[in-house]
Amino acid sequence: MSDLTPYQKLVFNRYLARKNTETEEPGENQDAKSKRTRKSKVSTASVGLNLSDYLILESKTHGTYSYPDLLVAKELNKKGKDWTGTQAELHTENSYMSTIRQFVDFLIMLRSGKVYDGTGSQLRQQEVTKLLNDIIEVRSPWRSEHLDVKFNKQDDQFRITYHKINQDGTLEEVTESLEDCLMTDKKPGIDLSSWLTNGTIQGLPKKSTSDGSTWYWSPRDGAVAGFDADANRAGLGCDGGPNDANASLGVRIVRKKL
Amino acid sequence: MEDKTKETLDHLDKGKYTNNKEVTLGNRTFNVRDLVLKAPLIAGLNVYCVGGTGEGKTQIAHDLASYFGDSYCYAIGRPDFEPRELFEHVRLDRLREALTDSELVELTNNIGKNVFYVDELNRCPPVVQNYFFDLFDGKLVHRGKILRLGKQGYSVGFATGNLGDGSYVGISDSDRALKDRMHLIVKLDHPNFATTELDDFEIFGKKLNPRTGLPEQSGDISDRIIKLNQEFQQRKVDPLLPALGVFLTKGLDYLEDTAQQSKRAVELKWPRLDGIRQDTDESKIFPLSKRGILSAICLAQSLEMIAESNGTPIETGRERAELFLDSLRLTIPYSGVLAPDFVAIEHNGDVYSAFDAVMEKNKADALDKVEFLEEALLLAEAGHTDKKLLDKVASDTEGKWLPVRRAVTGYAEKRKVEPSETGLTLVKMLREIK
Repeated sequence: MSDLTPYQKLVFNRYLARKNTETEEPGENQDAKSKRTRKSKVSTASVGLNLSDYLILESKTHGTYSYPDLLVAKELNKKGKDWTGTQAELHTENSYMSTIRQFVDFLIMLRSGKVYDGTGSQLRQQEVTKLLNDIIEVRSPWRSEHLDVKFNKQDDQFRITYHKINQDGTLEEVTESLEDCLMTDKKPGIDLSSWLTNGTIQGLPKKSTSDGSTWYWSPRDGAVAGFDADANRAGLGCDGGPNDANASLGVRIVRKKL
Repeated sequence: MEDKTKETLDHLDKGKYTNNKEVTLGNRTFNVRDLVLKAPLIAGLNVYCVGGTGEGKTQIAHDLASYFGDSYCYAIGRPDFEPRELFEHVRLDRLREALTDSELVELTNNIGKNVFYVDELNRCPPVVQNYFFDLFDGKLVHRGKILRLGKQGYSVGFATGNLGDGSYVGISDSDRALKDRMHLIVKLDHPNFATTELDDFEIFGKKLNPRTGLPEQSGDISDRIIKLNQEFQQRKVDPLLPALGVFLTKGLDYLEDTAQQSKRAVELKWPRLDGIRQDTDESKIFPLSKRGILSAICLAQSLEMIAESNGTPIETGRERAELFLDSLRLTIPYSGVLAPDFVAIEHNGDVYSAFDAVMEKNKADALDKVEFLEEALLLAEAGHTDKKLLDKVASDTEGKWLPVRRAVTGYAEKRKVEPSETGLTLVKMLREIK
């Protein structure tokens, strides 16, 4: 009898872990004709939140980075607060700010059209399009949201700090080297699809990202990240000040799905 | 990876063809030389380089001549060309003793060559191009017998041509069956694959002669390349890739609102069908051919070897799946599966743009399912299925992913009767847990 390879062991252990944490599963057809279906049972632990105000972002693994199933708010909250103050407030409320990676996965999900709210109901296509356009469409008014990433430079090397959500919902601050990514501004721009489909594990566009119309401000020392859209442009900024605040600048609250 | 393997791989970086354009596949960066020369030689894949003149096709031919020395065979396409000319010659010295015409015909040494390069393939009219089917399949039918071309079972075809869109004089489009046999079709002058500005600058600065040079006799390394291919053949294929292959051949066949729910069933009318969905890929892409899938699997596996040699190995199933899905960009866009109107009208004739648009959602769907598929396939090895897990892959009644679900359950049933070594280990582990 042969031993399993390390890869097979990893897959097997992941399966066992999934089995242990499974509650009720959907069992519905996810790729047939669009249907408004129940996705999963509403956890009692989530009572108190209006789950229909949130979207389910399923757990993802990107290389060594992973996060559990999340609830991501449909609308921006806490407008007018700076990045530092917003982070502090969110953490006291057991909620989080989306990392760039999660934001990328969130946009990919919206673009796929297959979106479920926190109660497990599938959103109609028009609503999904509206949510996506609220983030990326070039139009008034100015919309802007904080992202959980801070950049620092040490010995000429960029480092990135963000929070990792553990399986038990606790937050872990991670500081690591910034992966090889696009380090020049593109005004305009980068191709949104190219960025979303071929971004780095940390979610930033790679150097090979095709040109396009999405603006990009590359990482600066001491800066934080955000995504903005207004009547002239839409884009990812990695050059924001942690103390910048504006009435249009808010946060898309993220919670661990229980 | 053994030192000698890496040495051979590094050697394949050297040559006259220069194209440092970076292409990202599966979150790994390769250059175009890796894609059109190195990876195909590792995997034994045929390559059809299309596009305008001056994009380095002749340099590729020269590099191949240099690597393979006497095991390299070159032909140029012309209207009256017949591949048999390469392999048979008439022995006039036997004219007296021969009883029939066929006894005068003998095979040439070309049958044992490893690389066949056909320049300007589509200068031949379509009927003549069809004679090349066997050549690019690596075989020759001689006196009713099928003979294998090449040495030690290694035979690769390279061809060049221009697209049959009327922009070049004296050329014809290629038959879909021939395109299918050309495992990779790459448009070398497309911005995704064209040389970089620095490449061009250096090429222009090298010599004061616009003619292409001659092949360098720098040493035949054909035996090393064949050994590399044999090593490649020993690599195991992750079952994720054939499972995704089922999606791309059977899943992409799905038509929601027709009787047979199959594009192949209504092939003659597709995509001009009543009720066909315009908001999905139903009207945009025909299911991929089996050969196209096999080519992409081989390409992805050979790129994995290159990534390993570059110190950036593929480590997870998701990464492997992504590399495979991205490799389709080299094998599928020009294979004739995209709806012509969709390419022409919505993408201004840019097949890569059209293919990327069609694949964006399919790729995202596939990657969302990878973890579940990995687990379901591992359980299947032990003859087990887990309904909840399979439900995450596909519905059990309809949809594009249903064929994948059927393939996994079918494999599990098979393994229940014919357990594999891995399966037996898993069965034991599952019992212990219970």
